Amino acid sequence: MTTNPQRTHADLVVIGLLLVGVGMAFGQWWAPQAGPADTALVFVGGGERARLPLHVDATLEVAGTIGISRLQVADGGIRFADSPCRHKLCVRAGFLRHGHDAAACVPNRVSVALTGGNRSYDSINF
Amino acid sequence: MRSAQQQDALIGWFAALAVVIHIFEAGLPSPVPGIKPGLANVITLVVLARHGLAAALWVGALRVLAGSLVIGTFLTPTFALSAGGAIASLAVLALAAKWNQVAPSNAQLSLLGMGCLAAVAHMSAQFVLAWRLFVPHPGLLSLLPVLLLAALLFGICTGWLANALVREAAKLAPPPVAA
Repeated sequence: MTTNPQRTHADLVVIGLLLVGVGMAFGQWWAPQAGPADTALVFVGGGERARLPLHVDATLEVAGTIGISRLQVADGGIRFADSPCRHKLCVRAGFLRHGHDAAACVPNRVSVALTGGNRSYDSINF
Repeated sequence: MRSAQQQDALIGWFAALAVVIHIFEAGLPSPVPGIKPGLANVITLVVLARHGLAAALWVGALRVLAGSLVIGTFLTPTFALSAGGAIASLAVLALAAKWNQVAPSNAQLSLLGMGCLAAVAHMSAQFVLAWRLFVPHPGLLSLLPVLLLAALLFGICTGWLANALVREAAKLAPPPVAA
């Protein structure tokens, strides 16, 4: 058996077919998995405090461990508008819109998790 | 025609070369677990082209075995993944070599196409093993397209490199008659 060390047409066909296969893999497993969420769950210290439909604009003030966190529902999303914590990471997380998105104000023990849409992961720990 | 001893010595030399590259690669940092260039496979491909399928299978198998002994991953999960990948890629190389024996000359594969097939087979087998045995989580599937794309790109690189090496080697020494 001798193998020709020059690129052949068959090589290009094989590479083309493999590329198509990889493209199909991207279509199958790389598509966005989480759809838009419909409900926000608000937790304080591990217990559920409130359940907000995301299609109704609203604001909610939640009393946490160190003060009041202000949540805002708008345009099908929810965000921490303000929180008494130092770094404001929860505020900077911005609007959450997709199924199983989550944000938390850890110092204040307030967290928000979205349900509906498709779950893109099982759980998240802080 | 070489004697059996000469053939063994040849396989030993090439396997040693492949092990060195294997070890060097194991030390390279990788952005995503599972992605590495697979440069050691260049040796397997060159041996396949110049010395035939049997020698290439030996070099590929010895490389995984001896490489894991030197790195210290022998019989660890890493070794299972590496061996599974090697078995799959060598099987695909064997099939491709058989194809070249029966295919008309204009449908034959060079090392470029064979390298790509071997790389993608290697990655697929590793992924299935990793997914079934170690991390049976559907989230892992999201990684598959990226891994396959990387395997294909590196397969093109190694296949091209192997072709170039065989061309250069042919200038230095005529291709030996394959066993």
